[in-house]
Amino acid sequence: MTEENTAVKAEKANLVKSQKLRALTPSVDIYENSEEILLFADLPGVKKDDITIDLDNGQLTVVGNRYMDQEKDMQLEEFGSAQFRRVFSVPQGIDQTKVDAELNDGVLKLHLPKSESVKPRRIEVRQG
Amino acid sequence: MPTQLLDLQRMLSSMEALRERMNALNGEFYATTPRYESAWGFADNWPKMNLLDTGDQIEIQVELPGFAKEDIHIKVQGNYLELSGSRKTACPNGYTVHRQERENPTFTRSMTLPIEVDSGKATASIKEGILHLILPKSIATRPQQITIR
Repeated sequence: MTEENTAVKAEKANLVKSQKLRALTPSVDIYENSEEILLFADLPGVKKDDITIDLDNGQLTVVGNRYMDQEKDMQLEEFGSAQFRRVFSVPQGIDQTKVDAELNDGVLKLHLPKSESVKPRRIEVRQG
Repeated sequence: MPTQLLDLQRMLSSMEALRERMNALNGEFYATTPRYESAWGFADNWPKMNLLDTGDQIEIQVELPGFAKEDIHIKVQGNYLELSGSRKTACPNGYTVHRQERENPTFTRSMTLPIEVDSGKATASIKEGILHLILPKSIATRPQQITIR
């Protein structure tokens, strides 16, 4: 019972924390070939564990929270803690179990492989 | 007469409630509106930069996602700082492009620092797409404690 309560509290605290973040739209590149859709998103300063990627009902939601220390003696401040958030429509035929994401130098790389049924196929003509 | 007064009071209290609601709404609105960063804007102040003065040194943070350390050039001279670089965001081979917003092939940003720095002792590191530049102040400009004899 108490465990559940602390979990709920932690979740609420997280919610409050993320609600206060400034909302930003990350820049993305989207590429496609016959095997997959490839997405790159700029998420500078976001740690791996602060990224959530949800794929639900053809809607892909990428959220990355950046937490930065609040410094008092900041003389020039152009960026700070923020929430990068972007929602995409994903076409039918993405193999949800094989979606793969990696984070490198503040860039998220997301592989969305196509399922076998939608991959282009060449049909051989038999001798009749 | 008392009923009229009660009506007036009720009306005023509901107006008060509405005003409070509006204030809360406004607060929420301003908190979520980007102050410096616009969603698409990286025209003349790109890449974004923070500058901190920590007494003995100046610390600069720059948003540079996807930049390798070879891609960034930093030049410091006296109190002049110049950052330049380029990154490779070319379309991978065999892929068709759906959307390409990340192309910022080259950038240059220069600024005059508030104080002279010791460029020989400057250090820089890049982590998670953020460049950290530590510039120790030159001895002459550091705050000095003077003891009274």
